[in-house]
Amino acid sequence: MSHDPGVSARSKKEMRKEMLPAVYEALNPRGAMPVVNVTPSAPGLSDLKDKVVYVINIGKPYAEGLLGAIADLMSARFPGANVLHVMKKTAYYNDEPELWNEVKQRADAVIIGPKD
Amino acid sequence: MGIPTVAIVTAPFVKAAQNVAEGIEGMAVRNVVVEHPVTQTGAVATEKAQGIIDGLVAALSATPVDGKEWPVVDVTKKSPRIAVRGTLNEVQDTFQKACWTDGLPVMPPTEESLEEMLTGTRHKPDEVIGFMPLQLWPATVEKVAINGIMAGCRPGHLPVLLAGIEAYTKEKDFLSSLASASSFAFVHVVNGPIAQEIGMNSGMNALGPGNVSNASIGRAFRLCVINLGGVTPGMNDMSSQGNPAKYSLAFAENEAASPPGWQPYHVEMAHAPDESVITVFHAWGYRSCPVRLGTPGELKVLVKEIESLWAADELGILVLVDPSPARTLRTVGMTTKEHFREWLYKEARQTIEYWKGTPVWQYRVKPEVLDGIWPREYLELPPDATIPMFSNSKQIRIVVLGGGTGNGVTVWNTSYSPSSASIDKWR
Repeated sequence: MSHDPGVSARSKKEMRKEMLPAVYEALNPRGAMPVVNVTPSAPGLSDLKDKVVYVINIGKPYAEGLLGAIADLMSARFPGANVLHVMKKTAYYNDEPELWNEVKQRADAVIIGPKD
Repeated sequence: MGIPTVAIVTAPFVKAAQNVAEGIEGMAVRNVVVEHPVTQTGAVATEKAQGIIDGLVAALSATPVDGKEWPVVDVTKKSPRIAVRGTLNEVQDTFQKACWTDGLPVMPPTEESLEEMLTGTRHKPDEVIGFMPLQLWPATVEKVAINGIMAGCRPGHLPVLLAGIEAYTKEKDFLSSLASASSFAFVHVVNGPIAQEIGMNSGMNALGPGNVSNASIGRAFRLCVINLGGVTPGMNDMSSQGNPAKYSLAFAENEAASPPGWQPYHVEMAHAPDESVITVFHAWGYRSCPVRLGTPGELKVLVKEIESLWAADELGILVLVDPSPARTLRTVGMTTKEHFREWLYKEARQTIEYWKGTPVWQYRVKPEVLDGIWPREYLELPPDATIPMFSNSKQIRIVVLGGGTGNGVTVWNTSYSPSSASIDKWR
């Protein structure tokens, strides 16, 4: 800001205006999530008798202790159910369509993990 | 599939599980949370299982609420074209609160700057390059340009960005590494004439700060990962410690200073020398060591550094050789990159005990033996026998980089295969 007494008050006002912060219209950088057709979750089972329950390890061998214990506890609690403990043959980041086809055909309920 | 399913989720990953469920059609949203980690065995594992068995059974038998279906989550999200109108500080606050940045201030992307940026390509703004991991949202030319502006890129950088995003979208294995609890990052290497056209650094301090092209291009890729891949730390980027290379890591190979016989990386990959190409390498940790005289002692240090990187189980390494040691290596018989590659393959070794003891033995390395990637006879060798670190020499990728004043060889541990794309296509 000029202190020259020769600079008029009007030009000082104009100078102040020029010094106001600029205003930006910033564009949205986000990608657009595509529309997802949400399917409601399958209804629960009132009884596991005569049902096939898969306990699936998604491909993390270190979790076999926990998942094996879960399968054992399920078998003990529901002796009428067929509890199958399965570990994916491939790593957790690989798909395994043949397993999912088997599950689709045989399973009545699934416990799957771990998400970690 | 129409089958009641409950997922076992450890506590730090609950948000990630919900994020995944929102984005996938029909994904069950029944989660039972358990304390992290889940590595217990024996009686301790049984006790942990007993702690959640009631919750698992309840989730599987959950009845509809008030006669309605299990709650449906509307995941359609709208994305307005203008994110915010405001001062520079207000733009920064908005973008940072929304987790749209890397934590550093960004250049506000405006219609004017976008129009200018798009002069860097003849491709249309709404053209979809591919589906960006992690969330597999469509990445358009315009959105890449916007993120490039934020990073400080100029129009001349845009073809590099577009090609890089194409490379990201082509490699499905990047999806896993973006979400991993391990601390992965990406290295972006540019070959061909465009490097000089846009002033990229391939020489002194190329891995460090100071060059606008290197810094802004590398940064733009991370912003694209965040904003076009929908990656958010703690939500679906579960990297426990993070990686400083995530801020920015892009450079050009020093083709001009490469010794005779050492072909540029893209030429080794069967591209024409005058073609401009970008290669995205998945990366983890790195080592640096001196190679000044090329003596057996120095080379032994280099080999030991490679052996310490846990390189083989992660599918390879990227070796950055300063032009000075590259010339030195040539004098001790490594007249081509292939010679150096084969030598490293032969020299870097591991014991059978180490090989079988790796955390990825069960779900990666052992299946690779069954698939013939590793010789089956290795399984019969005694624990103290040694075998190569790598299943094949092609996992050793070599790039010349540096100012020629030092003696550094820097080795990055890389996972998965690198992904390349032509930059010229996007001019």
